[in-house]
Amino acid sequence: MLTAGIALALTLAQAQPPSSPREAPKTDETVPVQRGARLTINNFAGEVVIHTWDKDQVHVLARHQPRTQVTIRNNGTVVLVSASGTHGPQGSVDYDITAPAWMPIRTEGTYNFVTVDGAQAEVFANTIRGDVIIKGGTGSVTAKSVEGEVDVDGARGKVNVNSVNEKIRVTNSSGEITAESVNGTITMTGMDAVSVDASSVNGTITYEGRIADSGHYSFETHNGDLLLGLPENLNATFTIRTYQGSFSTDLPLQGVGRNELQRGRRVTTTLGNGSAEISLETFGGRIRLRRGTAQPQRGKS
Amino acid sequence: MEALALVSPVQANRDAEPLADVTRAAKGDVRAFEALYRAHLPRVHSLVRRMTAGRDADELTQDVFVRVWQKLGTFRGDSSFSTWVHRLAVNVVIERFRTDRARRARMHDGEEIFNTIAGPRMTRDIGLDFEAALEQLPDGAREIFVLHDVEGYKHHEIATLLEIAPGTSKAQLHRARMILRKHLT
Amino acid sequence: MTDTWNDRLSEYLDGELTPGERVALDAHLATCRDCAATLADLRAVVDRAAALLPRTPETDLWPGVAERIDAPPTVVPFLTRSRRRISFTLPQAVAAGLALMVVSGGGVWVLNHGGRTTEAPLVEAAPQTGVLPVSFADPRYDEAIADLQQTLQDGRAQLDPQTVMILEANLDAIDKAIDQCRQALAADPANLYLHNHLAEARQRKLALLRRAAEMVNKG
Repeated sequence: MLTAGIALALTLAQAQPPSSPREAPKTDETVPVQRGARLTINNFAGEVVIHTWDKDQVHVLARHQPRTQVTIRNNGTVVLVSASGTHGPQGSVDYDITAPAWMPIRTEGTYNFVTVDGAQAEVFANTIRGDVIIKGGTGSVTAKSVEGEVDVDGARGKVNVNSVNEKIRVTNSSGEITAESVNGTITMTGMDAVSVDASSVNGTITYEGRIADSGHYSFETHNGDLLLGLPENLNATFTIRTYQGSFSTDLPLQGVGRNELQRGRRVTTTLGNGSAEISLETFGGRIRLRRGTAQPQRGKS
Repeated sequence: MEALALVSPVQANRDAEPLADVTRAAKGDVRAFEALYRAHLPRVHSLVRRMTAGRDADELTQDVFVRVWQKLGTFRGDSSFSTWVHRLAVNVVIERFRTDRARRARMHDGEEIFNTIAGPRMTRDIGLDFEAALEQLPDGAREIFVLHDVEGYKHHEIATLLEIAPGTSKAQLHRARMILRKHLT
Repeated sequence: MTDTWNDRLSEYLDGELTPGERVALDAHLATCRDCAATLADLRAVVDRAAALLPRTPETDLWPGVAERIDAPPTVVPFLTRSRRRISFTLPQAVAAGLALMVVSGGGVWVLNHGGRTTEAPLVEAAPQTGVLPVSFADPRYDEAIADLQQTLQDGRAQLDPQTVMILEANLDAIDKAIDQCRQALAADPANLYLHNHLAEARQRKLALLRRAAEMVNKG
């Protein structure tokens, strides 16, 4: 009996992880969900990392301060993950969430660093300070930060990216792209967009990718440069305006010389059957159109 | 393509224009032409702005009046001058659309884009009033709504102007109205 | 399930149904509250459209028209009509205790200097070098800007200082762009590109201020 008691005690001791006063409290919960439900995370501060899987369940693992309580509400339509302070204001919460790939995701917060990986539905991420990284997303993909970088890869549909101060990157994405910044650069590469609306005050806008027949592409800055890397056999009508900027290209475009591009005068020129519309406007930036890559070769301006 | 024989019913009921300025302008009197320009600018610019959702509205408005100046000698007086100007304005806008092949392909824009427009603001700022909501309609729906409900054209007239089927005109009008009804205040 | 009559309501309103269809839809409307409500809404939309008033553009387009018809300008461009050339310097604005938008040096976000600001000229000051005419007043825009700036001023303490700094820097970038447009317009007052670009810069400022106000309201 004594041997059995010791064995039981050992078993229990092994089952319990060693307690550590420094280990943050955890919330670890899994809720079942049905198709059509949406996931919403409201987190004031912390990290929100969302992965996906093929189970119809949402698993929430949250690390937080003792005075913070994480609540998961599931009314069948929305799974709402949020936190509150048990005594006074809540602290930061770091989430590691796994949700079904089909589940639309929305996350909002103030000081949030957001990563969403593998979503096959709508994604909406909005934060003030913190980077937003989205891999995937279908339908409507929105990524916004005021002070952080925005990085979207492999999104399909209506993609809306916005960072006030930091750089924006959109890669290998398709559909209708809207990108806006004040000082941040906007870089779009590996694109398969049918429409692009990109604007910045001082950031450089770069676009490399397919230009779809009948597509609409608009690039506009105040002083930021516009750098486009365009495919061969392009069918596009270019509308170019600059007040005191400059223009250069290695494409066979006619009628776009210094005399034509004066004081914001609109210059229109065509390649191929002119199917796509490409609008380039800058007050004082440089406009560079190149075959292939948008970046200039070494030694050339 | 010169003016189609389509008269906006809204325009047709306007009072007869004093023709003295028209006659003098047709003879090259720029002051008289400027007076005509200022008299007709609000309606022309409003039509152009609403049809194009503000895109290049100022330049297109100038195009309209340059066209008016060029065609003054052809004004016969068989309609009011304002009707004649209005018809030219519609034609200038439509001609711009015709060079934009992609616009016809966008006649089937869905309503989803309208759902991304933010709701009423918390502050008394420039909000989403009806005119702004109109400008944010999908292109095809907006053009037809402006021509039909604002300017008074009939569907068969719109179909001729825009080179679409009358059924498409009806469907787009209904779509526009259904979207705009959400933004009545 | 979509009501099949819903798509025909506009035709009903416009009198374009056949007599038989009209009778059938009348009978349906008597029993379908949704369709009746939708029809009322559509009628309201049509009424609202009919009541839209023409609006004069904000920019005087005549110089551009005159230029294209090869006519000498018979009307002085509106920007030079005003005899009052108004400028502000930052010390003057602060000293006067007024929140005024600085013209020559770019805009100053109200959080640094308090009070409301507007781009419309309010005070005639002594002429100075680098004076710019400031006839770009847009009352609706100015009112919106003033409103949002007041919201921010009232809620400034709720924002993180670093966030305030970032917002200020970016608003300053937009104000500099606005200022460059104005300077260019002073030399080229009929330039449509500049007018449109200025309007877009103002809208961008409005959008950023709205976003900042939302941050304040969220606490």
